[in-house]
Amino acid sequence: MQAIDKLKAIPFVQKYRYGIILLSAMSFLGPLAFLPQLTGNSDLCGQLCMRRFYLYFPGMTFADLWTHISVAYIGVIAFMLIMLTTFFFGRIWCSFLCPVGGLAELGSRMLNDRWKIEFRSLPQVQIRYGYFGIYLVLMPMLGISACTLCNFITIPRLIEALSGEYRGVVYVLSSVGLVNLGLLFILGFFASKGRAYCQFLCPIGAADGLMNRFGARFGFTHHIRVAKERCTGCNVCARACMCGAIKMVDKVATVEQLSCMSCHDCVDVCDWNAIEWTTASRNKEPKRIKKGVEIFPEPTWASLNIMPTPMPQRNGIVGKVHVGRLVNGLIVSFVIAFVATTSAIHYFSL
Amino acid sequence: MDAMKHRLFYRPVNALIRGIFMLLLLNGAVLANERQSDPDGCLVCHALEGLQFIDKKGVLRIATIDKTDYFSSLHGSVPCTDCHQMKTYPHEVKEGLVDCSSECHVNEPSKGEKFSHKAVAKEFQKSTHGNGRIKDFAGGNRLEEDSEPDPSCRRCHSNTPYIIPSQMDKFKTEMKHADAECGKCHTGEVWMNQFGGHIMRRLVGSRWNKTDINKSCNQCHGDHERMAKVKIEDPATRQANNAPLVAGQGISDSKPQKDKRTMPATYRWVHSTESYERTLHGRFLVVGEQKSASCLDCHIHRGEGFNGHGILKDEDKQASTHPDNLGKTCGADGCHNYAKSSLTSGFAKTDVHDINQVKLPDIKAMIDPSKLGNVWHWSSIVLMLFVAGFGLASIYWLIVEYPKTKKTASNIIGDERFEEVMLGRKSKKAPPKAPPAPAAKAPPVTAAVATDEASKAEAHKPVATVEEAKTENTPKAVVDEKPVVKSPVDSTPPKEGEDG
Repeated sequence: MQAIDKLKAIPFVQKYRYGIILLSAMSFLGPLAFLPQLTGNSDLCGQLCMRRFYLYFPGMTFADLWTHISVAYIGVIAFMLIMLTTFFFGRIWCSFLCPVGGLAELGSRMLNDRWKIEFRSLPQVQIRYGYFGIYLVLMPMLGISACTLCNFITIPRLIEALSGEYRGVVYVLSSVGLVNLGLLFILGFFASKGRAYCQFLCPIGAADGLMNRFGARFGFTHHIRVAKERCTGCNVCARACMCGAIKMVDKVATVEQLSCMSCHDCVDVCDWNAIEWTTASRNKEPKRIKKGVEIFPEPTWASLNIMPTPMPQRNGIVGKVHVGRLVNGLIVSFVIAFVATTSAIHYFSL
Repeated sequence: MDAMKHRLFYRPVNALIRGIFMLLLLNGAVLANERQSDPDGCLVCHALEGLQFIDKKGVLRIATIDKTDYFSSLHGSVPCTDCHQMKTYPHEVKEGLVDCSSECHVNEPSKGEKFSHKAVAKEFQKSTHGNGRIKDFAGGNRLEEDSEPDPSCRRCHSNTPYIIPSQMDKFKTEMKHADAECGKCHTGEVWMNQFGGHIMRRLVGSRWNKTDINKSCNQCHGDHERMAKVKIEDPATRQANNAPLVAGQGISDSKPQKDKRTMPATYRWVHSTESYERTLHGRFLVVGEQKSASCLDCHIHRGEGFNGHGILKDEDKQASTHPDNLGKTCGADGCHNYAKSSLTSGFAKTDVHDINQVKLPDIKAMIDPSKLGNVWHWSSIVLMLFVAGFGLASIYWLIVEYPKTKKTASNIIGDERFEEVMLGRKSKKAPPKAPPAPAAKAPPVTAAVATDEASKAEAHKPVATVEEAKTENTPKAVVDEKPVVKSPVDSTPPKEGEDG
C-alpha cells in the first residue's frame, strides 16, 4: 500500500517521464531492441555508436575523421539530432529518452535513500570536463579504447545477461565488464537520484551540456529558467534536482546550465511557480506604470549560471581567485595545447 | 566524311554484333556449345549424369561434370587436358592432379607472355598455409580435404562462375559502358578479344567483397573443434624461446610442450574468428559495411613480390601482424592513417582478438586445480576475499552499528556537504527544516499579479529590500537578464547586483 501511495505521489510530468524511459528502454535494449534491430544491430554499438567519432588521434587527418563518421553514420545522425533538440528544448534526450541513464535513475529511485551516496555536491563541471578532455585527446593516444568505460555497452549487455544470452553473461563476467558493473552500481543505482554517471563520465552528456549552456544564452529557446523575484529560497528544487544543477546562491535558486537536464523535477516541486521550462520573457518593457510602479506582464525567467565560489580571502591575496574557473581554464588550455603540440610534432616529423 | 559514315553505319553493326556476343555470353546453355569444342572428348563420358565409381578405399566418387557450370566458369574456355594431364585409361589419380603453378594457355595481354600463377604459388608456399603445396595445389579430392589441416588452392578458389549471379546486373551495365566508351576507338575484334575480358573484370570489380572473404576463412577457422586439433608448427627461430608471443593470451593457454617441433593451438587462436566477430571490424562486415577490415586486410603481408597470399605467423618478422609492423598495417591507406604516427603507438596495442569477449571455455577446464595459477584462479581468489570482507562487515554493521543509527532515511555519505555547498547552510546543527521565512521575503507577489494599488504598494517594497540585501552581500550569481521589478521609489541601482 505504501508503495502505491508513493507511486501516486509522483508528480504528473515525472510519471510521464518514467513511462517514456521504460518505453525507450524496451525499444533500445535487448531482448526486444527493435530500434537497433531496424539497422541490423542488437545493441547500441557499431554503426549506432555516438561516442567514438569525435575522438582525436594524434596525426589524424580529415580523411580519418570522415572514415570514423561514415562507419558510424547512424550514431552521428542521432548525435546531431540530440544536439539540435538540446539547443532548442534543453537536454530532453538525457532526461526523457536515454535508456541507459534512465534505467540507472529508475533503479536508484526504487532504492531506499539510506543506501545511497550523495554525489551532487561535488564540483561536477570540473570532473566531467576534465574526464571529457582526457577521453577526447589522451585516451586515444594511449591506446585505451573509448569503449572501456562505456555504459552504453554495460546496460544493454546486462539486460542481455538477465534475458539469458551468453554474450551478456560473458561481458558482465569479464574484467572490463566487472569494472563497468561497479560503476553502474556506485554511480547509478547507489547514487542519490542515480545520475552520477551522467554527471561525471558520460561523453554525450558532456557535449550535450555545452550545447545546453550555449542554447540557454538565447531568449527564444526552452530551458529551465528562474524568476528570481518569485523564489523564496526554500530549497525544494535543489533537493529534487537529480543532476545537482541547482544551487542556492544568496537564497535564490540558480540553475547551472552545463548540468541541467530539463527533467522538470524542479518545476513540479516548486510551489511558487518560480522555476519553469520556458523561453525568456518576451515583454521586457513595462506594460503599465501605475502610481510610479512599473508593471510587467511576465516575470523575468532568467537562465542563471553558477559561477564558482571565490577562494576565501586570506591576507587579501587570493581573494579573487575562482578555483573552479581556474580548473576549467586549465582543462580547456590543456586540450588546446595537446592538440596543437601533437599536430605540430606530427607535421614536422613527416 | 569518313567519320560520319563510320558513325552511321559501322557503329550500329558493331553494336549488333557485340549485342549478340553478349547474349551468347550471358546464356549458359548457349555458351556450353561455344567456349571450346572439347578437343579430347572428355565430356563424352564425363557429361553423363550419374557417372560414379568406387575407388580403392571404397569411397563413392562422382565423376559427372555439369556442362553449364563448367562452361560458364572462369576456366570454361580451357580444355580439360590443359590442366588434368590424363594419358592413360583407366585414369591414374596422379595424372589428374593439377599444378596451378605451371604455365598455362593464356597470354597475359600486356606483356604477351604465357600466364602463370607461379608468383602466387611461391608466396603461398612461404605462408602459414604453405603445406598445401605438397598436394600440388590439387587438394586431392574434396572428401579428403575436409579433414586435412592445410588448404590447397581450390579450398578457396574453386572453379567459380566467371560472373557470379549477384554481379550479373553490374556486368550488363559495364558491358554496355565498355561498348559505348571503349568501342569508340577500339573497333576491331582483336582488341576486344585480347583486352575485353581483362578490362571487364576490373570494371565489374572483385568477385568477392570483404564479407565473402571472411566467409571463406570461416569455412575452416570457424570450425573450432577442428581448429583445436591443429598442431601449430614451432618456427625454428623460436625454438629457444617457446613461450607464446604475448603472455597470458587465453584462459586455457597451456604451457608449451617439450616437443619443440609443434605446439598445440592456444585457446585464443582456436577462437580467433569468434573474438573477431565481437570487434567493430567484424560487426561492421556483418551488416555489410565494406569500410571495415576483413581477415585478409590485416593478415596479409604487403610488399614487393606479394600478391595477397602471404599470410604469415605473428612471430615472423615479415608478418603484417608482427608487433613491429602493426602500426603500418593498422595505418594502411583508408584505414587508421594516424596509427602510423609514433605519437599514436598505443593504438596498435588494441587487442582485436580479445578472448574475454568469447564464450567461456569449458567450466571444468577453467577451475581445474591442476592448472592453478591461471587468470581465473587468481581473480577468483581476489574476488572471494573482497566478498568475504564485505559480508563480514555487513554482518558486523547489522548487529552493532545498525541499532545505533537514526531510522530516518538519509544518504550514507555526502548529505552534510550537500546541505553546505548546494543549499548554502553554514551551521551543521541547524534544524532539518528550513527556518520560517521572515516576513520580508515571504510574499512572492510580482507586479504581474498585483492589480490593486494597496497590494502593489506592499508588493514592491519587500522586493526592493531583497535588492538591497543583494548589493551588500558578495554576489555569486551572474544574471543574464535584468531584474524586472524595479522600484522607482528606492532608486537602488540594479547594476551593482550584477557580477562584481
